[in-house]
Amino acid sequence: MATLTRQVEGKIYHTRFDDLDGWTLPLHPEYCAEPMCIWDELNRPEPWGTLSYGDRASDVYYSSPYALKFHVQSTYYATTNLPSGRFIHLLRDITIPAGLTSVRMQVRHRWYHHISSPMTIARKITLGNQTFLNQQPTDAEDTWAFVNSTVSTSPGSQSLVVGIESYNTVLYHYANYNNYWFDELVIARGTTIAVSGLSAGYKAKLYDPSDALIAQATESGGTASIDVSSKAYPITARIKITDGSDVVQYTSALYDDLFGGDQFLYATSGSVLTASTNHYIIYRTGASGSPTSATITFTLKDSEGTPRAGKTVEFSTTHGSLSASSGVTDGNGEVSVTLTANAKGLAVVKATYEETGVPRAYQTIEVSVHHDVDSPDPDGDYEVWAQGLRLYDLLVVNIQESGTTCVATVETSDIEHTVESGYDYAIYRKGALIFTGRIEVITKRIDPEEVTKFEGRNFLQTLMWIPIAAASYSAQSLKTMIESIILTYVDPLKQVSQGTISPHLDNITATVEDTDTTAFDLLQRIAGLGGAFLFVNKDREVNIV
Amino acid sequence: MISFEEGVNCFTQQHTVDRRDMGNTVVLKGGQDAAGDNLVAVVHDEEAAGKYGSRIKVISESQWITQVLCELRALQLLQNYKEPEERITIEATSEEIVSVGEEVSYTSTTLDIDGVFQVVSVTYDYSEDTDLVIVELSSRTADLADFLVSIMRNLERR
Repeated sequence: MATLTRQVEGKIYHTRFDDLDGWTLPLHPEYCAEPMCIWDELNRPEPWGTLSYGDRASDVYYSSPYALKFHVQSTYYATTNLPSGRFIHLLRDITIPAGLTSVRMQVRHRWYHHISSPMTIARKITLGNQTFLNQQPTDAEDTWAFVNSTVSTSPGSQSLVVGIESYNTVLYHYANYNNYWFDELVIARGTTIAVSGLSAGYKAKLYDPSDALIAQATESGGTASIDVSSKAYPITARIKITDGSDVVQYTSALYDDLFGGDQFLYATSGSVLTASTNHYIIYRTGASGSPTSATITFTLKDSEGTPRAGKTVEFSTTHGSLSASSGVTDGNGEVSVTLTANAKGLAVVKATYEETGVPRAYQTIEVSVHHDVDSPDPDGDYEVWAQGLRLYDLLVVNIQESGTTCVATVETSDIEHTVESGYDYAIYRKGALIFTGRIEVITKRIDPEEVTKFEGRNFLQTLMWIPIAAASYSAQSLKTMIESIILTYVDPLKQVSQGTISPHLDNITATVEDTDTTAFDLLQRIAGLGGAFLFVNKDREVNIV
Repeated sequence: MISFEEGVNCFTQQHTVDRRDMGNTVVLKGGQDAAGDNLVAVVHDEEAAGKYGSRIKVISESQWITQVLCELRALQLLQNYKEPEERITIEATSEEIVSVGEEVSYTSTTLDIDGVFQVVSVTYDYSEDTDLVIVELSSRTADLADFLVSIMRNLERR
């Protein structure tokens, strides 16, 4: 499991002008110079200019439902020209975060004139003493323009001013009016979206809602900086993390609020639990066989493989009892618990570790509790022992071995000794072991008479359940790879052990990489490279010859 | 939905629990997305792992070409494979007509089962001496995606 957490917000300020909360319309004479002002000092409309908020006309707003609109028109009462330097401004304070000497600003803007010549009025936006926009009506009319540039600033409170201003004398013409709109005003930290915590070769990618790639970057020093300088903020996208082979490792939910300057931290599972036992088969307490307990060790590490010490791990089991319900990891990240049981059964022992803010880690391991040691009669015929108890009234015993797989089917009318899925079973002939496996299918036939039929594969099935997230062997002998896989992934479970590995596999060198596979698939693949054959014998040994 | 209740309108002939094809961790290797990235979705069911032991199931279905579809399909597979498959063969005594693929409810107090199953086969056996309807039920439900995958695999084999 992996997580992606936004640690720094790229957004400093963003408005779609769907409301004017926080904005003020200064009435002070230094901002509200006559005659171009909405209100005079007596709160009367001035002859020139109005600010209209909430324009719903479908042809003028960029982001629904509103755009900020300035409307300039001489009224019935105005019969004089408008001098240069007259303006209407909206004003608010913006806090620039510490450490920033520049910000990325964006806005959509637009203009329209009704009759006569365009008024000599410019659209203006300033931040502090820096001008971001000063656009005279020389750009395309009645079309949204997008302005996107970096503006110098300094940390602390800065005035953000949006408005229009006459840059020359505006001539009086009855019924002439000009409109000016602003929308999607953005102040962001920068022009990149950074994702840190990436492994070598990893990439961070942005995908739009239709899953089309819109930008990407490869990590450098663990951080990928995706260039979004040409994008309009906020960006609606998913972030995907891929490895060096472009295999997707993580996909975020769809963000609708990505801004340049966003900083994300990618983290794989906070912790990983692995498990090992000293015995897969134990005997119930009081049995003649030994051992009668298994010590199970769970190891807690972080995603980088560093042991995590002093952490509390919780234990549970489906059968028998444990020496403790929880334990604290030592300096190697290890914590052990002992399993014992008074009756036969299959114990699935689970460990869990929880930590705030990261995915919960868990691991299971299986220990088989046998009633007692099998004691087949050397003079007997076929005998079937399940979990250390002999089954009587056998109707059918069938063993089919072909290639890698070996399946044994048993039918019995023994209703006293019940069997369950997951039980070990062994088949003997004349006292000699000829099959060992685990029950996978149980059929209870009720009509016309009660018969239990069960079947299972030999312990090869164990290899099919062992996950391997990633394996990479570069220019190594096949035998070395096989031994490494068995030692690392198979041996800790003690269900099977290493048997014979053909010596010729030591003379063949290869490079093998795989992800999201199983021990069986990987071992079979490597065996195939050497023309060898994988099987598990009745003594629960993995042989590749 | 048709209901079968043991002793009321059916008799149970046999009951099978099959753990061979289980997966409480499903790794779905999908196709490539629009950018050419290989998609993989990994989903877990911790409760099932704690009950039966960890079982991984790796499946390749290249038709899933977005991460969202890949994850949805992986969750669907997890739902279907996290528990052992239960198969039940019943002799229906009612005159209900059931079809393969149909979902029916089945209740048995002796087997302690009360759930929804999919009909996998129906046998009508009528002669001078017999008039039987044998219905096989399964807890694994095949949906449209499963049928499409099956068709695609058969096409690939040809």
